[in-house]
Amino acid sequence: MSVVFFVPILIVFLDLADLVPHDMKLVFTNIQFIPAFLNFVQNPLVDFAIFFLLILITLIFGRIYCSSICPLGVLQDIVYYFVLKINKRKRFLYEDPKNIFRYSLLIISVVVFVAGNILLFNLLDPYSLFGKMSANLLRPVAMIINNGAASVLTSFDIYMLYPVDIFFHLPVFLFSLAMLVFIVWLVTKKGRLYCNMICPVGTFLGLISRYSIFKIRIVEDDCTSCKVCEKKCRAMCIDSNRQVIDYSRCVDCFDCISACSSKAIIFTAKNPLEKNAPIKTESVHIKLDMSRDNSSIKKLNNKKLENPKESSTIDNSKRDFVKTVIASFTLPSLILRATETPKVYKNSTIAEDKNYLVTPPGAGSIEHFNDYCTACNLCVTACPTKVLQPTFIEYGIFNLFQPKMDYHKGFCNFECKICSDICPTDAIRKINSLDEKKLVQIGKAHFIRENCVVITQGTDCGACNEHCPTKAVKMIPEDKLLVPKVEEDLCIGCGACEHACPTKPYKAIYVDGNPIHLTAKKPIVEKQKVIDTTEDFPF
Amino acid sequence: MKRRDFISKGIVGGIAAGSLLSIPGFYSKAIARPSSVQKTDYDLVAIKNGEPEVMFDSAIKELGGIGKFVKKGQSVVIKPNIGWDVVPEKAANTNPKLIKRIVEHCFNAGAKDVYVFDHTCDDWKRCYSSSEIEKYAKDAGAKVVPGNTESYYQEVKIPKGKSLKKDKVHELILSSDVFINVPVLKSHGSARLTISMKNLMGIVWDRGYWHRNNLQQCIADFPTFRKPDLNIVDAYSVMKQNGPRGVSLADVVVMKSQIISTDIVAADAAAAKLFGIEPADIPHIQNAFELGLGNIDLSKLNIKRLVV
Repeated sequence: MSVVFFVPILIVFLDLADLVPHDMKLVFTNIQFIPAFLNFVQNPLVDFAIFFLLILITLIFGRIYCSSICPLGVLQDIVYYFVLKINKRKRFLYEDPKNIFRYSLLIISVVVFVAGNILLFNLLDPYSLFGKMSANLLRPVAMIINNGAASVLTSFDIYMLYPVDIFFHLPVFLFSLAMLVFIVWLVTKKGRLYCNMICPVGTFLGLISRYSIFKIRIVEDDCTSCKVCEKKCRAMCIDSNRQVIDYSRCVDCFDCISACSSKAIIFTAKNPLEKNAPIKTESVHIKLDMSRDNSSIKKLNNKKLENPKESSTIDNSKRDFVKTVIASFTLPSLILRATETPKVYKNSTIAEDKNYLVTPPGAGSIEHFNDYCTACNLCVTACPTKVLQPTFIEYGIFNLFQPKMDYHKGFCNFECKICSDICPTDAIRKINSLDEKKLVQIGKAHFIRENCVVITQGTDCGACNEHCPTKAVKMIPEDKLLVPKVEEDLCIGCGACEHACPTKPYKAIYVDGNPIHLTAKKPIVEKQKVIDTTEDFPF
Repeated sequence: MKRRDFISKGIVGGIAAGSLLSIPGFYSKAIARPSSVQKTDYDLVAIKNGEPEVMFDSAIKELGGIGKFVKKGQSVVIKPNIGWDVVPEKAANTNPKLIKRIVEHCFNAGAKDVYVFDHTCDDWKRCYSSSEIEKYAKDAGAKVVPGNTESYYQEVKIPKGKSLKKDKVHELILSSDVFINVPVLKSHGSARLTISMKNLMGIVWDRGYWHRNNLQQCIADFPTFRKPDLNIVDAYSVMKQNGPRGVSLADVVVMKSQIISTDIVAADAAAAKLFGIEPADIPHIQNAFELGLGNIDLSKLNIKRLVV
């Protein structure tokens, strides 16, 4: 079952060629707990189904979300599989729950969220954390492999694969790497402790799973207190001596069931003490099912081993990253050395005056975006022009890593609204049609005449006007040249002008974000006269 | 060799090869092919009132057929304008049916490989797909190649350029035997018009450099390095205003015309006239004429005028 949820979400984040339809991607991200919760909070009357379904599943079966749906949970199981490979005698022992820590963390997360800040969900939500890791660790590795393969194929005149630009964002990369190292270390030492001590979703679902209908239960008469199950338990929640299971921490991995040689652990709705024969046979069925499920997890793990692309993410990521870092420092310096030319161009002198960051169309306002974005980085990976880039503390220290429109990396494609389609938390709300998106004003362009090539060099340029999709940037004749002029009403803030503007170091045209998105005027349409094609050639 | 070794060696090798090729002029001397402008019966063929592919059939016949330019076993690179993520009706990109027909002609003449690419302004995958050029070119058997990655571009010297002394050029332009330039005639906010010479901005890596350093001179300078062997100007649907991207269909008029010439200056001069602007009023056309790249004075040319 984990395969069903984990592999698609991995593909969603690693889909370099944008092959998977966005609706399909949404299916797998929207069933994640925090996205479902945030959707519910924003729109309780419409988006309640998934949220309550997740709670209902927990109420019936326990923390299935943690064992199978949560990608970070599955990632930990994969790490645990390798831990077992390396250390065959890896054993855990029962530990008391870290109740004070985990409940205070949950309460603080919720209180901080209610108070209007999403930081702790951003940092701790397992889906968003997995998103950050996939987008900033796995994806670059996949890109390097893709680019390597593409250059090899290209040398054989095959253009099936194409190179992709790798953007490297240090703060979020370091955070993801640190969290990955931390979680791997936790798994090695204490199994699923992240889920039972830190993760607010795990702690919350643990409150429910105490009362779930189906539970793992110890048949006291059959149990010899041999501790096999306790040593197997990656949640460290079985106390074999006392024959007690802490249900708030059980993540439904069912390892104990297959480990128990006296078949004294069963997954059942009723307490086995009541000795109800029919229920017991039923539970045997479930037990068999579960052991099959368990083997499928093993199959997944084996698959991971066979598939070098995925296994390398565990083993080689660091090594590959060192290489990327080296390569990314070496190549530009080579290129820079090669392009030194006699300076003709005069540098621009006036700095851009940006007051607000630009949020993607659909975000509505910086405030709404800040309130609901958990920085899962899904939009960053999906954006075709790479204009969406993670920030560090630009939105404030309580809004780490939330993406912004970075017009030095790209510009917002006029005919695209993928981010608004794909955002699982509705921090970027869905825009219904492209026509609507084309009028969403996320910022306004400002022209700095003194920086413009046409003024400083006295030569034609007009790159801004060329790229402007609404012609909010007009070219006004001045002497024999054309000088840009911005009509703010028509501008949608897509940043094409800023991206294309060739001046250095400061741009002559830049977009300042709208803290609250506005609606632009429709572009002016002037119909051209029909031409009589039967006339003679004019030459 | 293990996969990991292979990749690491590949990276090291790539850096080594890249640094060798990044020595200015290395690539152009070692690999680049010279342009070989063919003698034809006419200096320029202008045709109107037909569908793009039909006009091309007739016009190229007047120049002696594509076989005059493409020999058996040669590789051909076709450079349309695929700059924008818009549908063909908006006429911001070259007509896809015209591209398909040119590819077919090349293969009929015995071409080994036909490549199609552009260094687009909008996201290249979306441009290739929205313009429908990818689909039509592939249908005819061409290889549609990405142009938006710096690793495909090689440093070359442009000794005769006034403002543009060197640039990074797509390797297919340097390695292919025949270079066919297929611009679409459009209005243009900075260059005034975009035709054959302006279309060559899509075969270099750093457009910003051109914009910073006297755009109109750089556009004229580049063909001193490499002139296309054939220029085919698509003037079927013409964007008369708001170019080069266009705002709406209202910007487009149907002209049903096409101009073919080996002389890049003459092709652009004729297209400018068609558009309704004097060629000398387009600075880069005048600059190219002054560099001796071709003839701006259409009255001195042997022109074949056709009506379908």
